[in-house]
Formats: sequence, structure tokens, C-alpha cells
Amino acid sequence: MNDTPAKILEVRNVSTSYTRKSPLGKVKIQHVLHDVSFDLYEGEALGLVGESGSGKTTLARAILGFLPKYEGTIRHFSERPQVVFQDPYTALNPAKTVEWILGEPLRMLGIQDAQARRQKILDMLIKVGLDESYLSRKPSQLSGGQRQRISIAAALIMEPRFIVADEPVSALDVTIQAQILELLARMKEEFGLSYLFISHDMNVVYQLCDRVIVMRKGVVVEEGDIDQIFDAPRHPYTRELVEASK
Amino acid sequence: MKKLFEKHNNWFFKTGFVITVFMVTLVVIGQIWTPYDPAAMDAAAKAQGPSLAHFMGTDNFGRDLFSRVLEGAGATLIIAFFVVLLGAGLGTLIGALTGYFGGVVDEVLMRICDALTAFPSVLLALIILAILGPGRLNVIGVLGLVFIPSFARIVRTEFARIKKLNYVSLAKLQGVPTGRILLRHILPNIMPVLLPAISIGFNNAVLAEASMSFLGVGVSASEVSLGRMLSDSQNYILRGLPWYAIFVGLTIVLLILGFSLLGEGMRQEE
Ligand SMILES: Nc1ncnc2c1ncn2[C@@H]1O[C@H](COP(=O)(O)OP(=O)(O)O)[C@@H](O)[C@H]1O
Ligand SMILES: [Mg+2]
Repeated sequence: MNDTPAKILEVRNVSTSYTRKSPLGKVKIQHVLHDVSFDLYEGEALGLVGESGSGKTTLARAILGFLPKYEGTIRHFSERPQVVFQDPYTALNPAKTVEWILGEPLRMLGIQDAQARRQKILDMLIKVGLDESYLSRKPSQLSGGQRQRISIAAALIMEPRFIVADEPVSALDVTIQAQILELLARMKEEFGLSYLFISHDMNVVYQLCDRVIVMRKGVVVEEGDIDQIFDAPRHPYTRELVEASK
Repeated sequence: MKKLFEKHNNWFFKTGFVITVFMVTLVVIGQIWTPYDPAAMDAAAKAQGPSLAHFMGTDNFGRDLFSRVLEGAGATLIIAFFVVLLGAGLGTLIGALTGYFGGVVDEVLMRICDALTAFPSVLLALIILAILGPGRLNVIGVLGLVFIPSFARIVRTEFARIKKLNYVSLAKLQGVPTGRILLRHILPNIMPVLLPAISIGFNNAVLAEASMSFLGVGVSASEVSLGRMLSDSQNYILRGLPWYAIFVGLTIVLLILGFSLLGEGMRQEE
């Protein structure tokens, strides 16, 4: 027997910067990530906390393969990592129906039979707390919370083992936040998922995560189990974030 | 149709829709049936004003003007259709690729577009046509080409904007091939911008064809078109017979009005 769970993600010494050209042609370099390293294990919900602008989304983009250039290495040990975005308004194709949006990943997985796709979509809709009546709706006909449920369904339908959730509840009302967090927790158990859960809100992280990475201006300042971080934060910045959430 | 009016619930669109449907229906019918043979001369009815027998009157050869206007409008619409097909088709292709991929090709193509749009397109078409000589196919080719940059520019901007949105990132993560992302994921979302552009493009194409043919570099002397007829009608005005020009002009105005109201109506919703 081997007790150590399998590694899902390995991030090593990742650094990156954005270059901006001022109107006068001066090139400005903004360092966004500095030497970021961590591991994420099977079945774990790892929180990534930091104030707005600390580079969380940039790190998520690097992990998902959307960042064209960065230093360091990122290794995945699972196939088809998926994502749930913060902004439920740009995460779903406004020209398409829910059935099409959830059908697309299935088409990509090679499920050509429309009836088989529909059945899977229906099953998934039920799992995320929606029903058949949503099939023909377009994103504009959904509330923020419903959109986020569809986004979660779209991620889950690819049958990933690892999901990056970039502030998935930050744009939602508090009551809806709780519902979506509960859904994420339930799906994690049901599908044995691992999460990289990004938030600027310690409270939200506390509700879902086992372990936390605290990032400030692109630098990881502290890493530890959620209880340790909450009860005995070592870094002043962590203490600040914890205080702010109380 | 009720659905269409609910989607575009403004008077620009509704009026434009009615005028366009009326005109296009008339022209389509004109392709199949006209009251008289447009080419049939009648020595007994030369250069007449509007009458019960000839609702728009007749020309110098006693040919029924209404029948000829229908034929000419058909020719003009067919030319406009292919002009827009060429301009919007290639413009969309170029705009989609440059907007999505960016890079050096984008820079070069957009510079060429800049250079082309800096020059009035109708003037450019006029010069090229004057060199190539008149003819239906030449008109379609040249007008289509000068229409490409404006479509390419609009489409490029939209593709460059939408490619950064999360639903496109999501599609990439799902393993959707790039071609499918361009066609199925992004293209449907630029329709609110592309459709008004197409309807304005139609408008410009009708106008451009009329101008070219009026100036004698459009369709050749043996071919019909509204522009060609407008050019012919000048002789009649000089002889105090204005109805020819009035009816041809009215047809052009109605066609253009319909298309531009449609375009304006669609644009208003953005
Ligand atoms: N595409 C980009 N181009 C230039 N600068 C960017 C870009 N994306 C983010 N930034 C900058 O990088 C910093 C980190 O942004 P981000 O990763 O979005 O942080 P977070 O998600 O923690 O709020 C910010 O200062 C932001 O302005
Ligand atoms: Mg962010």
C-alpha cells in the first residue's frame, strides 16, 4: 500500500511578466509571477488566495496552457484539465443553447449519436441542480448562478480529474455563492476531483479547501493546511487576509 | 416573421423589411414574367407617358418601361448579390484569419486594407473598370474586390475581440479544432455586426453598379441594368420626357432605401 496520493499537477519555478508599450514607445515590463512552485495531489482542493492583481488568473492561464510565454515548468499528470471561470457572462457562448454548449465537449469526445449526447447532457443537468427545461435556453436567459451551474456541467462533462476554478463564485450573490460552493464540494466527492480553487476571499476558500497557497504580488508567501493558515498564519500578509475575512 | 419583428422591434427594420421584400418579390417575378417582352418594340407606342397599357410608359422604340425596369433591376440585384458575396465572403475569410491569428500576416494585410480604404472605393473601382473595360463580370469582380477591405476590417475587429473571451478558451480546452472554433464558435457571434454590414454592402453595390453603368464603365451596351437605363434616360429628359428617369430613379431609391433601413434597424440594437 502506498499512502501518498498521486500527483495531479506540478508547478516549478514559474515566472512571467507582461510587457506593455506606452504610447511613446517605451517598453514597460511588469513582473506578474515570481518563482512560483507547488504540487497538487489527487483528491485535493487546493486554495490559491491573494488580493486582486496578485497574479492568480495569470497563474491559472499558465496552468491551462493559455499563457504564451513563461519561465519554469508546469506538468500535468491528468488528462483534459478543465476550468470554471469567474465571469459567468463570457464563459458561455451567447449564440448557442445549453444543449449545444454541453453537447460540444461530447462531440469532441467522439459521441456522435445525438440521442446518447442528450441523455448524458440531461444526466449532467440534473447533477448540477437544473433540468430538461434548460436545454433550449441561451445564456442570456439564465441567471448568474444558473450560468455557473452550466459552466460546471461543461467542465464535468469532459470527465476530467482536475478542475481549475478561477473565482467561480466572486461574481455571485452571497446566497448563490453558498449554493455553488456546495455544488462544487458535492461534485468533488462524487467524481473524485482535484481542484485548484482561486479566490481573493479567505472565507470562501475555508469552506471548500484542504490546503492553501497564499500569493502576494506574484510571490508565494505562505503555504499550509487550511486550519493552520486560519488559526496560526505565519506571514503578516496571510494574517491580513484572515483578519479581513472575519 | 413575427419572431423576426420581435427580435428587431424598431421601425427602421420593419419598414426596410417591407420595402425590401416588396422590391425583391417584384424583381423575382420580373425574372419569370413581365407584362410585355422587355425587348418587344411597338412602333405604335413610341415614347409614351404612363398609361393603363404601359404603367411606366414606353421608350423610343415603344418598349414597355415597366418590363424593362423589372429586367434591369433583376440584373442590378444579381450583380449586387455577387458583389456582396465576393466582398463579404473573402472579407470575412481574411478578417477571421487575421483577427484570430494576428501576427505578421495580420499587420501586412491590414496595411494593405488601410491603403485601399484611404482611397474612395467607388473611385478605385471606376479607374480599374475604365482600364478593364465594361461588362457584367468585370463589374462584379472589381466591385467585389474593392468591397473586401471594409468587410475584412469589421470581421477582424470582432474575431480579435471574441478570441479572448472565456468561451473560446473553454472550446480550446475541450479540444475543439481551430477551424471549428472560427466557424461554429466565433462566426455566429459576429452576425449582429456582419448582417448590417452586408445589408449596407448591398446598398453600396446597387449604388456603385448604377454609378459605373451610368458613367459607361459598368455593364456593356448590350446588357441591361438600372444604371445603364438611368444613363439612357438622360436623352429623354433633354427632350422633355422625364418619366423614364423618374421611374428608374425611383426603383433605385426604393432598393437602396430598403437595404439601408434594414441595416440601420439591425445596427440600432447593438
Ligand atoms: N493580458 C495582460 N496584459 C497585461 N497585463 C496583464 C494582463 N493580464 C493581467 N495583467 C496584469 O497582471 C497583474 C495580475 O493580474 P491577474 O493575474 O489577473 O491577477 P488576479 O487574478 O490575482 O487579480 C495585474 O496587475 C494585471 O493588470
Ligand atoms: Mg483574477
